[in-house]
Amino acid sequence: MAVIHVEFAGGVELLFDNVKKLTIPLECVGGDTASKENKILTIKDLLQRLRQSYLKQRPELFLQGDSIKPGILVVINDCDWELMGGPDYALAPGDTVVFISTLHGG
Amino acid sequence: MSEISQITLLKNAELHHETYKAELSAEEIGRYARQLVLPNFGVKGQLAMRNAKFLVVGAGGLGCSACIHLSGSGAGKLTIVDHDRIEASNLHRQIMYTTADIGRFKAEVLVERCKNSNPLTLYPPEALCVALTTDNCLELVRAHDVILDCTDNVYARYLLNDACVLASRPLVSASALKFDGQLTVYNFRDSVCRRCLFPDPKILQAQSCDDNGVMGPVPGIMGALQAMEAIKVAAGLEVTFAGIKLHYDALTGSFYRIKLRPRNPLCPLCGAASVIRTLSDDHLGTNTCFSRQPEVPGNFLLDQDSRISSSDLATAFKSETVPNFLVDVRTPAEVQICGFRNSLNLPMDSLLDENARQTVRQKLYQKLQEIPGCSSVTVVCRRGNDSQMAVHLLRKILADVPVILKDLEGGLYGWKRDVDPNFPIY
Repeated sequence: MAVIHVEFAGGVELLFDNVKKLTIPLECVGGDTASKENKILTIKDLLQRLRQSYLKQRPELFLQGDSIKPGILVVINDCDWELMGGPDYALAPGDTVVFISTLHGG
Repeated sequence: MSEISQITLLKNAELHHETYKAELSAEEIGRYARQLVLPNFGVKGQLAMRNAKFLVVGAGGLGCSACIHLSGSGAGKLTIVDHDRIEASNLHRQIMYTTADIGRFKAEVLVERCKNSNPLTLYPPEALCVALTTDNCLELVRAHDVILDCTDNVYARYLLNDACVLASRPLVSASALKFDGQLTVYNFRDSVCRRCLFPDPKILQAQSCDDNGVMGPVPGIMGALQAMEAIKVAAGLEVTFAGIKLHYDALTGSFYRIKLRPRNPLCPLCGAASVIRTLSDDHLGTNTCFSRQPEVPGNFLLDQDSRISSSDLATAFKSETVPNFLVDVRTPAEVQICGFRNSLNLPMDSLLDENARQTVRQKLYQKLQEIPGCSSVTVVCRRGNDSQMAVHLLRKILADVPVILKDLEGGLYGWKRDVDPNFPIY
């Protein structure tokens, strides 16, 4: 089964019940109907899926509207998502998406 | 053999016996021996280090580690800025300080340690025991070649970032919190500045080591990495973490190496149509590190009638005329350190979480039923900030229950100050 890997770091994991790694079947990212329609699934879809099925605490600390909360860097296969097309990046089987909080402590 | 060629031979022989050395003193050569023999660094790198001026802002866990490495490596000039004094709770990670240093200025002590470690630097290291502000930052940055961000708050980090872009200086930035550390070099050639990633500091929610904790080795590791990158900048080596961000998760032992976006042409600071041309609080927000932004609408500060002082609470404990129970809104880890017996732990996170409110309500109901005639609840936190916000939230959650909600003014800190000087604080 085609899956994607999702990781949380730098404190983002606290919003996901302290889970640092998830493996999500690609077809589940778009919800029930997506696989039938053969829809291209993007990071936007992933954010919605995470909000609906995985986000446990205070969604306002992870999302701002439909997009990611400023301060959280989205990393697709070790690259800043801005290099990959941002929220519209089309997810492919085996992709690793990491959400990392920017730290300011010292 | 002719006379002339004999003379030439003699001269050659004399020349052969002359010694030479690089433009370093014998002492310097002895001290820097182990890095001088490295072909990638060598004499050229050492001379570059001697001519380089480093500005380190923050003399905490990152700064301690970064500064001692920079001075040990022969940094020509090292200026350390920090207005804080050393506290006992710093010592587990701020490894250049000892118990005897508690109460002294960090920058002053760190400069002393750097001088002791290496008295050969071109200029003696300098301590500035002042806060970094919009007034002094740009001048300081301009007077140095390489800037190290070892600060601990969003305001100072953006202030330094803005100054480095305005003065065209590379900014070697590291951070540490809990079990995590990060490192990147901003504004070096084509690498991004902080605002290319997140333009507006005013909307960022930051956590501090004071409130959230940090493992000792993490800032040490990150500060050492920072010194290494700063040395590479100064010595003209390839700066690998320019445009690359490192994230270190000590708990799982993971290192993430992230390729960052290129400079953002729309960046309000370094972009083509930049709007930030000076250092100003308008672009930076307030120069205060709030532990948590108020989530409740309007002013979350309580009026005096809704607060109880430590001494009044101590009196109430003794008299027991009005049954009262305590709600402790600190994290479970903090509750294990110290607190009031028989208090109900409702962590702030659970009060702020809409989904957890039903559980919170049930726990409170249950507790109220256990204490017959209980009409008063006192909310406690570490310093008396969260408790005020918690009273606001609990008033909503318990809107239909006739109970008086107050908070302990000054939190556990206040209790120590006014009632029990032996009570521990952290």
